[in-house]
Amino acid sequence: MTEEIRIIRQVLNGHTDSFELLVQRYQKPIVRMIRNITGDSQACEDIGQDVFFTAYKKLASFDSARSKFSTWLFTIAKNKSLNALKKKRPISLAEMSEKADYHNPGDKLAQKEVVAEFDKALQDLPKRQRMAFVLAEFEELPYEEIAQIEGVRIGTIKSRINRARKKLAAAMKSRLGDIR
Amino acid sequence: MKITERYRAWAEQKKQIDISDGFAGELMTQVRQYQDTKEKGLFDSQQFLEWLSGRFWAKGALAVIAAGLGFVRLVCVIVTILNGVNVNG
Repeated sequence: MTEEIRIIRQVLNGHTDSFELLVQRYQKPIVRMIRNITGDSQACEDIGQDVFFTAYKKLASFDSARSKFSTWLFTIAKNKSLNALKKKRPISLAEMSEKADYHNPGDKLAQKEVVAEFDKALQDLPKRQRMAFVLAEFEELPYEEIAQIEGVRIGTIKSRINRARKKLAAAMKSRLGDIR
Repeated sequence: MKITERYRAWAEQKKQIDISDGFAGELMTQVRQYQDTKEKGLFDSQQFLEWLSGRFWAKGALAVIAAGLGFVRLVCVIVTILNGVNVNG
């Protein structure tokens, strides 16, 4: 029995506080994934709270024979992110530029613009391609796990990621020409 | 800087995240309140649905019961109609 399964059994047996161990373990990847999917660094923590709360309420329905706990949790996060995207208005490039973080103070204006352009190109991808791309590229999940989260075959995931990469590369080639 | 280098810098940034210190604490407060309410309630329909959603056999049993009740109702309606036809006829 893995440590996670032991913790889950403890929670289901009434040790509510043990759930915090799971939250501590997964809070960063879950909130990061939500932020990268929705492009909303303000609301991602609220959606993340909702994901963990839903996971707690539905914990009895988690079946360790069917998937890993992380896969199950990422699936909940994916659904919540898609729901949030339905409600959200599109963010303009100017707003993204405001929100973008940068690390290099010497070149901060250009860097901020580049980050905003990349963010915009990512947000312009179709939802399913963006989802597969974010899970593969930033969460570094294996294709098998992404396929399980998305409920499709591995080939479909590979194709979505390839298409996303090509679209991002094409978008950035045309956009960054103005910044360089 | 080349596009690939800019991309790597951006991707590296996307892998970073800072979470509020109170994230887990706030969530656990919400979880404990939910647990308290759940334990106090005699019959919580939400709880029942959650319990039901996790059990395949219970969902199957519910579907069979619903189908059975539907069938009984259909028979009753047919009998009523036929009796009505007999009385009027």
